[in-house]
Amino acid sequence: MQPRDLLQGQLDALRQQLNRCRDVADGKATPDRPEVVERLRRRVAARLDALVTQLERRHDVLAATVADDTQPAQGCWRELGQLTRDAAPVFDECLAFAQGSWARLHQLDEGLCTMADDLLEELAHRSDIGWLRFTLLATSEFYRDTADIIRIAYPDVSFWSLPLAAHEFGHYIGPKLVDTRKDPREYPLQTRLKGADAGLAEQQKVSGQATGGHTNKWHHLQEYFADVFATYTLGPAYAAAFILLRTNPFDADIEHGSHPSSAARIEGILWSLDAMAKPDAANAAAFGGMADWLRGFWQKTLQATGTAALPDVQLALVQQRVEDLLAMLASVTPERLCFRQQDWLRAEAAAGNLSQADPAGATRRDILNAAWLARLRVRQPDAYAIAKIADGAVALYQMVNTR
Amino acid sequence: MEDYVLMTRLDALRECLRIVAANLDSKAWAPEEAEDARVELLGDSSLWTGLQTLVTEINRHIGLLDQIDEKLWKAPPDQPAALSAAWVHYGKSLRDSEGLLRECLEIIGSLAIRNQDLDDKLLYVADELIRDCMTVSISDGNYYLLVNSVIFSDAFSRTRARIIRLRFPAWTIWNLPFAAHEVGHVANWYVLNQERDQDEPLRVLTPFKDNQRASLVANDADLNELHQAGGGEARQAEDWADARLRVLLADAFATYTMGPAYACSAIMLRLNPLAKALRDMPADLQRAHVILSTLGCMNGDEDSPTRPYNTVIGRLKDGWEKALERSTPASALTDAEKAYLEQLAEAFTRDIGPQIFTTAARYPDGSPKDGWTKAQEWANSWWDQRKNGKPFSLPDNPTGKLRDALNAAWLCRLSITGDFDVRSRGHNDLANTATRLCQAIIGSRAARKISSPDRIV
Repeated sequence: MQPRDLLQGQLDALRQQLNRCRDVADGKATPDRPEVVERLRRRVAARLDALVTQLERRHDVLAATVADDTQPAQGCWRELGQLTRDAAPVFDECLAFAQGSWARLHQLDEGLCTMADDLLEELAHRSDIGWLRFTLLATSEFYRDTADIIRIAYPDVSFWSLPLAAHEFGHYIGPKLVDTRKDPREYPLQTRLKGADAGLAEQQKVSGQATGGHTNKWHHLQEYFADVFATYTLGPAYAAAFILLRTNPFDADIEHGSHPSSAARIEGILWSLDAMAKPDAANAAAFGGMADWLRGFWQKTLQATGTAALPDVQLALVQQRVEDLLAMLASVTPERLCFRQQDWLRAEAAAGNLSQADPAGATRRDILNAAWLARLRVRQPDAYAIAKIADGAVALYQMVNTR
Repeated sequence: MEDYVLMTRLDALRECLRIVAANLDSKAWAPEEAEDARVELLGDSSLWTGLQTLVTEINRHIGLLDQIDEKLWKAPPDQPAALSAAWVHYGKSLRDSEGLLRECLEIIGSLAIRNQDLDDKLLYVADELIRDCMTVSISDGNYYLLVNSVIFSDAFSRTRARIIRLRFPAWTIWNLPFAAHEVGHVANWYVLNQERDQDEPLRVLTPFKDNQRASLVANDADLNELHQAGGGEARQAEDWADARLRVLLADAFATYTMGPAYACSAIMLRLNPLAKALRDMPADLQRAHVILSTLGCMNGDEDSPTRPYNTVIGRLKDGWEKALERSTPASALTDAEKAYLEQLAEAFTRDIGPQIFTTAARYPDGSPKDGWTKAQEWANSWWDQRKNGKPFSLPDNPTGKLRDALNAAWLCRLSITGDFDVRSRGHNDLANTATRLCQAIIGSRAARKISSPDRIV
């Protein structure tokens, strides 16, 4: 066996894997290519193509180095290790695309991904920041910037969880926000994130990790911003979906490296709603006391589970951070991005009788709010009553689609 | 008693579970055209029987949620303790369901890949190979489903849904032996679990593992230092040693059951001489040493009349050592490390494996019907075809086992040389033929099963 045969064998295998990913990106892997898969593929093909091409180029350079017997093998093995690690997230995206597009095609998402795509496109349009991707099913909601695909949690594919997609969209939008009034242009969230990473070296020293990663503060800032964005753009619907569907009161006071505690996030969300409802706010909207209503639910839940409320010092810190983010978001985005009083009034009108409502003038986010308002108004929220509201709201939502 | 948030949660979780149960129904996956349909997706396939465990588990969770709901509804409003208890039960049910739902999504993802034939029908071969490994090692004939993942480290904890994970997009016949490594995690866990209920003198793997862990800590400078510190740090060192040992034992198991095919896949395709030990992962150098040592033990003593794996061990050792010399001459294993890994491999192969697994678990080398002899016969015939410029063809009578087909493919592949195009074409042709051979073996099994339905195949 030649000295480089092992290296060559692993390189060949990696090339085959890249070829397989290219097939997915090029659509060769799905020969019948039904319309829905093809439509999604077109949206992501260029990005996947670029990512695979970068890896292929590195592979070619490495293959040439391996073929040159005068080059030391140590560097080749190191680069092969790095290339394999770098390829992993791209392979992951290709797999997610292949599986996710199939799931959409076969309605495993019960139409939720298409509804989420429409909602996010509406928000992109309002924010004046383009989004040409799509959503796919995954084990939880998350956003990955490898191919900018947003994940929707399976199997929670009910209409009620739709507002949660706006949070993930906030992760996409945040770094792209630009303050054009400044010269040179400033990216306000990126600036804040950079500031949050100032303590990175110190954190790495404590954790014993030498490279990579961000501070907890950086991660938390991302989450607070995504919450502020979702609340700012969807109003009470996001707050209701987050509080009623996602938060576990038992660990609500536990903070993680990647996420602030749920209790802190809820305070931030409710504070944002209150701030948007203040009479002196630029886009004041009363939201019919929804913030108080949700706060009441949440506090009762904390009492029932014996979970401590957020201490005052932490509460003040959360409010300070959210206030800054909300002001920043309002200052660099078009006014129409905000969920305003007129939007809420349309939602209230529709909530009265969703099945009879006239969608004329109603937007998708109005219908989301109308549905949540109708649901919270139900005195005895049995599964049948809730399903009926959801059915009416979905029908109305889809009428907006076709207008 | 009413709690709006809790009732909303109960409804949502119940709905999620119902959706998943519906999506695991074979009708949702039935191929549109029966002709040339994938066998495992058909309604009467044992895959669906295997998934019934999961559906039963889902229904049990739905029942628990119904009970919580009912208790909550009946509780008088002046009993906050009932509300608190309902939250506690819901919290537990949610935690249990989350793992279950994650596994279900992985399974559905794998079904989607199969439904589109994106894997060239290889995942079914992998399922059957896994079933062979489980049957011959611990007599577990259940259907284990291969799912795809980039992350490749936690098959050990994923035994509830009977799934084994294979890295995406490594869907070639060359990577299939890696499934045996994951099976090794499950099989070793299964044995350890069984031994927990046995009297101490009857246990085999447990004391072996404890002793090996202690030796591993003593042999590793970093782990040893941490262990000397005592208290929580000592426990941490033991946990990490335990995790490394699980990987080494899974390597030994995979080599023991798959024979040279696993050694070839690992050394030729996966292990990197520069990959150092992490806290909970052994260095690739150590893994390679265990794999080659296990194969060495299976090859017999120096004075054995037949040393069946001499050639293949020689080639793999030669390749690996050359790669080490050229890349990391300074980081070679010390004599003490080598001695530790060699005794681990030897004890597992000669003493532990035969006691805890069935006789058929070890890859056979003496039988003319199957095992290494059969693999050599097929490999030689393919090699002759290649030398004569003929395309690879299926053997006339595929009476061997799936693991023989993988060994035959690897044995023939080791002889293919040339530039990238020549190698690539040769490997692809060989892979296609070996895959078809595997499918023929599975097909003939199914035919035998139909002709004698009472016989366990």
